[in-house]
Amino acid sequence: MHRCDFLKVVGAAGMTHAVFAPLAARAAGPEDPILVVISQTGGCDLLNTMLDLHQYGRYHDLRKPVVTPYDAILSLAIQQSELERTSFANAPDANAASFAFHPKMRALHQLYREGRVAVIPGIGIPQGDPNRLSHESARFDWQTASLGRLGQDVAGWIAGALENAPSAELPPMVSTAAPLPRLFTSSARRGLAVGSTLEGFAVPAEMTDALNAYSAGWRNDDASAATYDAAVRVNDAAARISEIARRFPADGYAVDDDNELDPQLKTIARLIESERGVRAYFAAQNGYDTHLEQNRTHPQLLASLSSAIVKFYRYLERLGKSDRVLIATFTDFGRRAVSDGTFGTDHGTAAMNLLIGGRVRGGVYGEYPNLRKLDDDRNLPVTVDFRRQLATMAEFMQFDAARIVGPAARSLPCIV
Amino acid sequence: MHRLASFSGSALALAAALSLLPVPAAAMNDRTYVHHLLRRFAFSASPARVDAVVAQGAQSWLEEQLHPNRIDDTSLVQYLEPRPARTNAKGELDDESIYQRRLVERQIHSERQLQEKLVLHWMEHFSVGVSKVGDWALMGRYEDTVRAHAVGNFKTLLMAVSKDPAMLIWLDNSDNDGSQGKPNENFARELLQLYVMGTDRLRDDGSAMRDASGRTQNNYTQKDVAQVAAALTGWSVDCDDAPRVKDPNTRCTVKYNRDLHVAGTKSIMGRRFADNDDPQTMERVIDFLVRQPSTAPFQAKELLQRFGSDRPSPAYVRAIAAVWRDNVDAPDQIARVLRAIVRHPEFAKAYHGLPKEPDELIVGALRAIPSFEKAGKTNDGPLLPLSAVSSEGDGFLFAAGQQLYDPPSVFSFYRPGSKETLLSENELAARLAGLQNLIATDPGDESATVAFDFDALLGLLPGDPSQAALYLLDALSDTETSQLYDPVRSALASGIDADSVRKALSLILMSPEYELN
Repeated sequence: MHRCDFLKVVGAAGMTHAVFAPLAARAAGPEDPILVVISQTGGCDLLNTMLDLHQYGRYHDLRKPVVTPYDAILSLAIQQSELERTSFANAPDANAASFAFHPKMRALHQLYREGRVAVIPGIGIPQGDPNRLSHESARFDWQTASLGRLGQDVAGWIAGALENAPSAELPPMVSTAAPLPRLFTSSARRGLAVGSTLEGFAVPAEMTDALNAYSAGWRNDDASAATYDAAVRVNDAAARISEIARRFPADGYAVDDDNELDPQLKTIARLIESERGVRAYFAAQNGYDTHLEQNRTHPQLLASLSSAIVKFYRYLERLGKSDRVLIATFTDFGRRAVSDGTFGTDHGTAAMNLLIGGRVRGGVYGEYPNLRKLDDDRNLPVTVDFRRQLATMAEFMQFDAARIVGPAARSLPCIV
Repeated sequence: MHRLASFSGSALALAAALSLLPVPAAAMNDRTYVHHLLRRFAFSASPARVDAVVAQGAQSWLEEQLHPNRIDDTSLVQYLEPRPARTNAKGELDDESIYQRRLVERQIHSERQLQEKLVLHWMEHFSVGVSKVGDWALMGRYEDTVRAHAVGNFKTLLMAVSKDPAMLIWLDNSDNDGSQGKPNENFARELLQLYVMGTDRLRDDGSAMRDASGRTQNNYTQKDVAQVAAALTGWSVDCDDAPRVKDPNTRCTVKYNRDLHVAGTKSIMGRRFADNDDPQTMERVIDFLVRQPSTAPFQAKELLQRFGSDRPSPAYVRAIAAVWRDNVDAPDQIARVLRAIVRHPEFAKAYHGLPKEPDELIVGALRAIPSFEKAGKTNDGPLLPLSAVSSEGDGFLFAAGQQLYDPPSVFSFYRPGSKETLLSENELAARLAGLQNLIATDPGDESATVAFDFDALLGLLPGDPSQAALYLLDALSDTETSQLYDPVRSALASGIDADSVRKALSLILMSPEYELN
């Protein structure tokens, strides 16, 4: 469904509330949109991932020695003519380089040129969460569409939106990363953590025999109930997962063992191929908390991210499903504008998230942070409230976006 | 052979009657209470050891454990020597994960069980990973640092950990050059958030304070983090990289390097710290932090969620926080807190009220059931094999997501209260597969280096299937509220031999109740 069509439906129904409910009540089918969320865990640096070339001098001053050389960064430049929806209209020459991806992101740059990648530099948590520089708190905000409520019983926003979705053969949310993220957890609904490969998920027959001995209501305390429920979920899912593993081997999908995301995205591709009604997936790539010697690890992380995503996207294209899938990356936060005393960067504010898919209108969305307008803690100004990305994802999924992020957070116009 | 004096017919009737209820404290018999205590304050125990503790008295056993240095552990020391590392056939130092295996072996064999439980606790509270520290020997040194203070005083432990090479490397405080005015904040932030007090201001009962609009209040700001970071600069690790110099105690030294320190007065959470560029600044800041109002409830709740109850009541937290605070300078502060946790009425009520960690699953089984440990391929001594506990490959703890020396990040997912990993379906499936492997291992298999000793177990088991079922349930779960009596007895009904005992063990070890401490 196109975004404008969706808006018409909203208008026809009279109230946005009504749009979501009937969708949730029927079984998921092969037309339903699918979300693939990728966590760049730890807090990925914006400045060394995508750079505004007009600010290179200022960047170099702030960041040395944690910088990417100008010549190197030009290799993956985005020309002015390749931008859409950017607030930067200040380069008169359409062929002038404007932004550049890190040189290790070659695959993603190619996909960008094909118009399938929306880049959101400057995205972050606005003032309002005093702990927004804390990993836990920042992740919690993004995953619950709330501000500064870590420690409270707030549902993940996807779990909340899918609370009434029927469980087909698998729960509507599946994570290849453990533990199951808050995003897929509410008091009424839980996704399934399958791990990075389907083959690893099996249970011995004795477990089923043991479970059969339990009467309902065995012990009534939280720990027992949670443990029993987990055992039942594992037992229920195991046979289905092994059947999917057998029938959808995705043999042509070669996995790089050194790339943490690769096996996870392959697992997600196989599950999408199997059409078992899963609406949302979660994968995670660790290592972005680059306090120390950032340039030793960060470029390789970007290379892995870039190649894993594009490999996954190409597979979806071959399946003919790339229009149904929206890939969304998010990260805890960006890094401090200045480098620290150990050749790394500390926790910061504005980051760069991506939206990728067959229905994405590629371009740079939002204003790149002005490196001359740092706050008292030498942090970048956040130019795009993270909830605008969430609203965009929610609309793609045909959820009631206003109910998730509030009426003020407008979606980004990057879905066609 | 162990006599099953306590398992009468009436115990069975009682089991049926109580099966839907948590065990009320008043109804808990001595033996059940000892099991409960040993699951929390030890890594479980065999039925024979449980008998011994029942005879000794639970409180007397606890007092003994609270003074680990008075417990004779000679046999363990002889078992683990020589330390630190062995050489392989080529004469190369073989330190790949030996330390981690030794940690697990201590859990299995040490008489100082509570001390080892606390080592596990503090290594997860102050989690540090070999992936970044880059040296197993330094990890072993870190473990020793934690063990030395595990039952003592929290501030002393925190000071020792803060100046330990592994922690200095793990959170980048080593070589943290503050001279340009922008020190690395990694250690300072985690010190405040994870190690000492958490982000939110807490009431004494552990709940977060809220303002009129319901918002939580912060213990500190970003400026405080930056000021703490500045105050802690200067501490660095200096290692001799010459090959073969492997003793971590002599190879690496910790030094205070004035050139890296940020000079000048610091302002932290409203308090001014005169800073004359001296090494005592760290000490003064840590002393200030452990006395902040949120620290006692933060620490009390975490200890409770390891030793007491998954969801301690506000009153339980308040009581324990008071003991923590009243003894903040006592050399036996942690021992006093643990004693108070056990003496509180809520302790017995939380019977089976905590999930086990994967480490506790496997160590508990190896302690409760007679087992073999044989020389491994890469070792000449009686070390547990790589395949059992390695942080690599298909080792049990690796598969189960708990690498003791290599947690996934500063957030050890095994911190008390974060159960999500334990409830994650793939992790549970991996734990079950690991336990199944252990059960299936043939003790006669040449390549197997750990296995249940079925001959010894058959010698202990009563001949009657009902009594044998009760023996196994007593060893691994309990005899009063277990749901497994019927299937376990059925598995043994056709004759008690290695095959039927394997089946019975599988039923128990795969069950939800075995997952509980």
